[in-house]
Amino acid sequence: MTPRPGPRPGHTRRGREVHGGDDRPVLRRSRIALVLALLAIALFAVACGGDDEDAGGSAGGETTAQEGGGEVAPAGSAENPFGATLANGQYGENYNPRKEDLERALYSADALPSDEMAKNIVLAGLARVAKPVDQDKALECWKKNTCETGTGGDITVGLADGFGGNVARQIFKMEFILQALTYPEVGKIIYTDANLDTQKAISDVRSMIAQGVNLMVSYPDAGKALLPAYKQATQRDIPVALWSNANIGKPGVDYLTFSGQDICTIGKNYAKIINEELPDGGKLALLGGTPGNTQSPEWQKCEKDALNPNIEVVATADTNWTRQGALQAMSGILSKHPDLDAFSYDYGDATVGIIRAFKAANKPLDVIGTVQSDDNPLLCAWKKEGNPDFKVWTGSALFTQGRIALTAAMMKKQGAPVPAEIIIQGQLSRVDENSCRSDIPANGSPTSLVPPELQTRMFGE
Amino acid sequence: MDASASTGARERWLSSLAGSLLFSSRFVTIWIATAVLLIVCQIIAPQTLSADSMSTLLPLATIVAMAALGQMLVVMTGGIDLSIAGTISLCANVVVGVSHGQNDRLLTTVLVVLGVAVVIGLVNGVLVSIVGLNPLIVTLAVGLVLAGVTANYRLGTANEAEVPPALSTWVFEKPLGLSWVFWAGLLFTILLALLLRSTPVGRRFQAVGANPRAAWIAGIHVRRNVVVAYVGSAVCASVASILLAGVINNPGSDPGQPYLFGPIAAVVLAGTSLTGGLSSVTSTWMAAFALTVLNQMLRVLGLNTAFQFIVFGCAIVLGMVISGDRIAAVLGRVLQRPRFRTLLGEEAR
Repeated sequence: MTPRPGPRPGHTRRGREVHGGDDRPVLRRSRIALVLALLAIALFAVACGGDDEDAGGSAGGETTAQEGGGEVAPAGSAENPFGATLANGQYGENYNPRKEDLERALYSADALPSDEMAKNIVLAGLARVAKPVDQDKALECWKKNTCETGTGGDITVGLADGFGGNVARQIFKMEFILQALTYPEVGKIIYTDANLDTQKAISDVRSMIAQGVNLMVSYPDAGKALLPAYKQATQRDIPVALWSNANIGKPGVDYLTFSGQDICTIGKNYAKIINEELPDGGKLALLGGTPGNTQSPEWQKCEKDALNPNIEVVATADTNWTRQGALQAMSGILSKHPDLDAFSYDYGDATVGIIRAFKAANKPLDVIGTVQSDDNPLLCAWKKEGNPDFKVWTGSALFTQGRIALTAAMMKKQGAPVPAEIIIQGQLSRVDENSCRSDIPANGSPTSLVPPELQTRMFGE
Repeated sequence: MDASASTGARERWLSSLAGSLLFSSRFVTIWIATAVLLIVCQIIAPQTLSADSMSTLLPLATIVAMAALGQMLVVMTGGIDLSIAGTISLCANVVVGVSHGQNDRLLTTVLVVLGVAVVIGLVNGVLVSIVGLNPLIVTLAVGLVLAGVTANYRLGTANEAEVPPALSTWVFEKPLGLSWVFWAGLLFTILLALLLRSTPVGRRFQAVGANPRAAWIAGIHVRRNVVVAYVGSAVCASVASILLAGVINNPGSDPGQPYLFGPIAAVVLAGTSLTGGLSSVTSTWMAAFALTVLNQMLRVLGLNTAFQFIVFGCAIVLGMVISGDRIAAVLGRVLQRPRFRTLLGEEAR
């Protein structure tokens, strides 16, 4: 018995042709020729475009940029006080933020990135803070995981957060939502919280890709495990902008960019203050976060390298970034070094645990503290102490990083060349009587750009 | 006649001594181990036992001990409570949320926290005892639910960020040189020990732990006692959470997380068998103290965290190898030998 032949191309068992007639291939060839001709013309036009620096943008994006862009005002002028190198309107953004917004978020213009394009993106992100936003809509989006912005825009933005279970991250979420609502072209916001579960974090990113987000902002708590998911998004032309200096993969290749602080600068800034405050030397303790995190050892190394030789680092301890962990760590350190002169740490809220350790040991808080984030509980606990010998410097909590990451991804959509890193130079500010803020929730952040009344509605209702 | 009477008395005395040895060997090991630990500590990291260190160490040890005593009640019935960490996290946040940081709301807060704990304990107890589900899975699941409830509850309590000042000040006050937390914990421990050893309720509870079937035949409500054990566990965890909230002022989102493993380790090191049975309140307290001292010693030594974990884990394994439960079993086997049985006046078989 011979095997029964299957249907051959162009034929069916019933004798009807599956594919088109003989004239179809001719038609297709002519269409291909037409497309190739158009492509050649387009390439020629691009080649003749001169010095346009756009590396990754689409032709449409360039058109928007050219249409919107005018002359760049001279740096330092009223129109361009912070030295943007793009004209207002280019890539759909304004590069002249309000001074008070910039200073609230970054302390001073010195914190702006040194890279020109990164600086433009930060300025654009901050300039959007001045745009009016419907706070009721923002609150509605904050309470839901998915929300329609009501603008009818065709862009869907996603925020894949690795953890959303504390006040800081909830403020981050609100910053992102407020920023997204300043773009009329954004029609939908999707939010996910992986709750520190690596598997969920990965599936959250993949599900956002499946839901067709046009761009994504993410906080990579799960670290390198997320890289394949980010790469998948990048391969599908979904810009992924991370916030925090997570130090994973190759930014610019595996994902669009990250917006974060220069970790080493934090350590150097700490060392500068400790050197100045302890000219005759002293004992210093370095406290970090969770065991194995990459951030704490990095700034600690940079701080050690920049310390005067007469400053002795007597202890390095992990705290899990919790008040309890900080209390236990400092209690152990104080047992061995009751004459401790200073400490450096990277989480303001948990520093309250350090204060509790001094209380428990019944020791006066005559120490110098350098702390990375300026969380309100620390600022108010400092005020309550009323001890002039307890000198504390804090850095900005940089909630704006989420805003900047979103703006970077939106500018990428507009064809802007987005650098692989948007690094903000951390600044430190001395805590004083006015640092503790009563117009925001007790756990809130003074450097957040979420309006105080909205922070109160978020946490106070 | 006189000679045989004196031989009988000697045998009775030896038999009683062997019984006491068998009973106490179970619980005395941790006291010896703690003494050794303190000596080691005094030699390699004496600062751990300094007054400054003790001022933090004792409150923290008491908190572990409170949670461990609750766990002990459940382990006595042959169960296990993995929801203690979740209970502590939720109750500590309830302390902050209900009190609004005001001293005059402290009493209400304590009552609400105890109420929440009773509900959690009832859920665990009913599911394990009445519905007959596996305690390991049930309490783990309840712990997960509590973690979710805490995360949600916490978002609404951000405005009330701190415990009442009366509580946060009280925890570090030191009558007779030792923290109030320690004294409160000591009082609680003594009361629990008296309850278990010297009251009919406690005796019945111990009988259920030692042999549920025999207790049931004797007419004791076994299921009711198991429910009481879970409620007791949750209440102990809630007391621990109030103290913890006072110590750290604002508990954060998951303050109970360090209390998942420590209390179980303390119960086992204290000589309680995980299959249920008798246990000692004071030994459990001592085991909790020893674990906290060990932890603090590793911190004072300045070991990096990875090494601290390794040493701590190895110490617990070593503790379990020499735990009272195992020593009692070995002693029991030795005393079963014909030579010893003859010596004790029992007929060798």
